[in-house]
Amino acid sequence: MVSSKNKWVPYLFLLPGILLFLGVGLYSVGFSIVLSFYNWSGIDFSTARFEGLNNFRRFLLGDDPIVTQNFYHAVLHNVIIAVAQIAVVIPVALVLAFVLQNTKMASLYRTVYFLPMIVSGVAMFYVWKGLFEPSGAYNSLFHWLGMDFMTVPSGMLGSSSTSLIGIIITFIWGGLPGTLILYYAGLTSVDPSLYEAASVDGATKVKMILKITWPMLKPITLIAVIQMLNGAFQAFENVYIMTGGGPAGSSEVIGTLVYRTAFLDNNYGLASAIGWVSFLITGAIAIFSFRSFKTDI
Amino acid sequence: MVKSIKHIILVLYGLVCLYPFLWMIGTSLKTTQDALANPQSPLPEGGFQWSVFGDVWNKLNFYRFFVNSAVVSIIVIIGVVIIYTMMGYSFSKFRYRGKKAIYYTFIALLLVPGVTTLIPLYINMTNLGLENTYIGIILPMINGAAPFAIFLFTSYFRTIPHEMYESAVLDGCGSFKIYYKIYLPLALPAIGTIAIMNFIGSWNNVLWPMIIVNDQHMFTLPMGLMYLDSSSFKKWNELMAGALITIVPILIAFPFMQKTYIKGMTVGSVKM
Repeated sequence: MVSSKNKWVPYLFLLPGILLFLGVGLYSVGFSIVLSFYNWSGIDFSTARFEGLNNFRRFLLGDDPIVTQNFYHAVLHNVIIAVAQIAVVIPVALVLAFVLQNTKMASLYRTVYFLPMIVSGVAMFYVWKGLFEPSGAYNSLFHWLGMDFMTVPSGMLGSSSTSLIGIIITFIWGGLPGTLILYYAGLTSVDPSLYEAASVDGATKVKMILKITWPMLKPITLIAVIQMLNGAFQAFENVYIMTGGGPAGSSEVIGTLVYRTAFLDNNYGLASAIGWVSFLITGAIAIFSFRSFKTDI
Repeated sequence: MVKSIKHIILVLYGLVCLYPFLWMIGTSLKTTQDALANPQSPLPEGGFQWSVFGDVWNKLNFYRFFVNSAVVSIIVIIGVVIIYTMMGYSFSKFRYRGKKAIYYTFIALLLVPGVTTLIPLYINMTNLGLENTYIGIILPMINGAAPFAIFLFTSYFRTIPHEMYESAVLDGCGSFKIYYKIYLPLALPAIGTIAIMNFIGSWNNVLWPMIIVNDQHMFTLPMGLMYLDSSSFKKWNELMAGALITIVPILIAFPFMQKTYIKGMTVGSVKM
């Protein structure tokens, strides 16, 4: 660590980043806080009306029953997506990571397994849309297996009782590889001599897992959970492309609600207010992940 | 016995990962009628229709979308690497007032969900006259990469022995020369990680381009796909051909960047 002779030098290195942040980041954050107290349809800010907390009352306290209902449904859907994704991904990734360990051709499997994560994007959401069509692969598979009770005649995404399940399946498909990587890396980074020493000391396999493996996997699990929570609460693209939040709002999430309120209903103030409430929700989650970004600077 | 169960599990999950890709490839080689009549089968009836790719490529000017995506991704990578290695260098090597406050302000950007600032960002960029421009698409993407890139570069630069800095100073090197002659070359692994993560991120990003771009000439590949989807009669074969064009660059690059990408994913949670 040095104190530079010319005390402006360290600041000069920060300059481009700070300028960009002031012009793009800070301005947007500040303006969106201001906006959440205004009623504005978006063309000229001189037409905006200051409304105090009205926007917040509209969707939080039922001043506007429809918006309130939409908001709470959206939050609920975000929660359901997060919980379902975590509940499936954590155990499955754990099992797969254990199985993948010490397998021949592990690197080939790994390459295949990681594909969903890197290409997950608009292209893959269209693929899923196609697979979930009424006569698409999903229905055909369960029909072929003789499990007709699993099929959805109107298509997974076309029925309000199943659209959210379809969204969750894509979340699981896209989210599994990331957690699998974390667990796999965690397992392979345990020093094998620890196990040897433990077995010399007469430790049982169960004891080794509890005393050696699990302490290693615990922080990884925490990080995986936080990542999935964050991802689920920031959901937008797959919902927007596959269902648009429908049918009848059955797959609406906060992201699509904000987008719709701002860019389709031209209600920028209300959209900003909803955005900031969602920020408080995700912020609480993110504070945990924040801790993993501590560096001794 | 245990061994074969193991392999059954591994192969089954492999199929789950691969099937959507097989379906995409198969459907892109069907005729429009075949895609509608037999959507479940990944194999086309009556031979492969290679012409679908050419049709899509020409019909919507996918060449232009491809170039747009490439330009955006490459400039984002360059911007992110230059701007945030400089910041990481400053944070990790110098002692000065306000350093912690600035560092944590940037890291705190992580907390703000993208959708919250979308509206003001859009207003901001249109006021600057940047709608339908590369700069308008790129600047917010670079800014969005700040927290993680700063975190990674700062912690990486801290691992470079301080003696190297001191001996360079004794040899008469200035701070800037030390930065680009010593620190940048030594940080290549971290630069690779950040470059790949941001390539994938900006290549797949659609929310921001969708908002700042309305001129078809400035569409990126994912936007081209959404446009293909917007016609009332759904041509799955064309949609899937477009999807394949969109993901091919990542598929080609992936085997080479897999290791680096995984390193970036596991940083902070696993000591490798």
